[in-house]
Amino acid sequence: MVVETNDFSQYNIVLSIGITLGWLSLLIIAIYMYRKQQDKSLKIWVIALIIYIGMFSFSFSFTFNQESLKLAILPLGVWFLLIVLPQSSKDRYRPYAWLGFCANYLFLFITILISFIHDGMYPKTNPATFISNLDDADLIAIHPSAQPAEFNKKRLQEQLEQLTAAEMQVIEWHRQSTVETEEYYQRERFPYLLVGVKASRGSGLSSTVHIENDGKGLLLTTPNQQLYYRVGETLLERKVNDAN
Amino acid sequence: MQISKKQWILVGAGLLAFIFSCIWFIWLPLHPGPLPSRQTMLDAIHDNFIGIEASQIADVIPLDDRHVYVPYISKGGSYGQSFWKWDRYQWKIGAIQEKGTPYIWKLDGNLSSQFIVYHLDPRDEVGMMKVHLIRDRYYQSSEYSQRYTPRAQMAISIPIEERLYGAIPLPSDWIRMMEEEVRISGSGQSSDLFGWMSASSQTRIGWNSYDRQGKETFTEHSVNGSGYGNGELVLQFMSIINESELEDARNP
Repeated sequence: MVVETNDFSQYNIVLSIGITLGWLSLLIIAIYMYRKQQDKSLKIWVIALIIYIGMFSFSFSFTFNQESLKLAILPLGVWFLLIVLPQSSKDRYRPYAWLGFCANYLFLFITILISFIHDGMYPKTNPATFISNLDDADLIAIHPSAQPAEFNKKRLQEQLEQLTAAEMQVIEWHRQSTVETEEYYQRERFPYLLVGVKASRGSGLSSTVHIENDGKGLLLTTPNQQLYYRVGETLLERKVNDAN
Repeated sequence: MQISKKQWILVGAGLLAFIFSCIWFIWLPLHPGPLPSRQTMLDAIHDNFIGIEASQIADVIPLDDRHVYVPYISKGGSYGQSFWKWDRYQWKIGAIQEKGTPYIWKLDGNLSSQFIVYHLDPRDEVGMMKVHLIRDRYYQSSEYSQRYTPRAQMAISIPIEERLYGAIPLPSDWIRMMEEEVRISGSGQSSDLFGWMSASSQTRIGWNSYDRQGKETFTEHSVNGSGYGNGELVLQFMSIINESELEDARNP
């Protein structure tokens, strides 16, 4: 359970809060168990270690709602502790080992909950989730067939809510650029890359944005999917001197 | 009294260890000493790379305050290159190449500071070299998902005149594009078992060369050398990309 973040992607605030809540509830349950117990000879740091080792498990990984999840099956950590712990302390520490194992299910539940809350807060079919801040956006021509052009930031911002999802004809796009008789042969349909686009604050999401040759298509690529949108007015302004 | 004295010694030792580790891990790596003399460099190349007797240092090119690129010429007449890095208390050779075929040196493995380095053999009579960033066009189509990766093809020209060597930072556009790619492929909570980004084409950098008349040439004397490396540097080999592999050649 590591909250990954780097300079380029946004900080995932839902995930951070969820994980913090998970550890907090684990702590509260452990304190509750400790206080209910008569025997106060147990050392706190040993309990913490036992819970942590108890969390190790053989688990089954699966994907749910675009989130990779782990379902714990075999309590390897608990078994290990039962073998290693001396007979005298086995019974006293065992509940904590099982608590550690059960924490796997707690985190599983939290992860599923997070993914739904996250979807609600940051709808992934809405381009505005991925294109939220254009302050640092710059246009790069990534193919020689791209004509020198300037990106019209304002026009994209104005049209962001009215983008229409269009059908991706990936086979056709590929064919048009590779078959000699086609209009895009040796040229690229998406010859521009928009860099420095930021997703919604706190979403932890990121994407790359390619812009179509005519300036009216946006191809969004996220780690999990691709989205294609068309706009009414072109987002590019061709430099005049290159119109032959 | 006994115990407190012992404690004092412990505290003192701990403090000393702390100060030393601060110097060792923080101060020393950031404060490089003076560069070794050219003679010392020649000897070091010989000591680290058996079979090569470097006879002349062509130049000493600092890339930042802790990385230096040193092209050299050997007695056997090969045009080689060596890569130096400040390592806490000394300048160390991280890698030596017998020949000067172009490489990308990623300083400290850092995406934002990458250099194209080369030292071409004069017998190859190169007038200009071109360095290309290429990402192949790729598509994937299934019942559930459609994916298309646009082709990327960017190039810079490096004129080769009297100076047969150089260290040139990668264009900032290239670096920004690579950073964007890392952002969507690296942070990997990929739902797809097969990881479609890794399966799709990735950005690569290659080069080709032209003679003084502008005709594409093959630099047979500058390639296929042997090399030495201590494994600490990130040196990326650049393969040769023929003009025929490029698109839209009419309008370069």
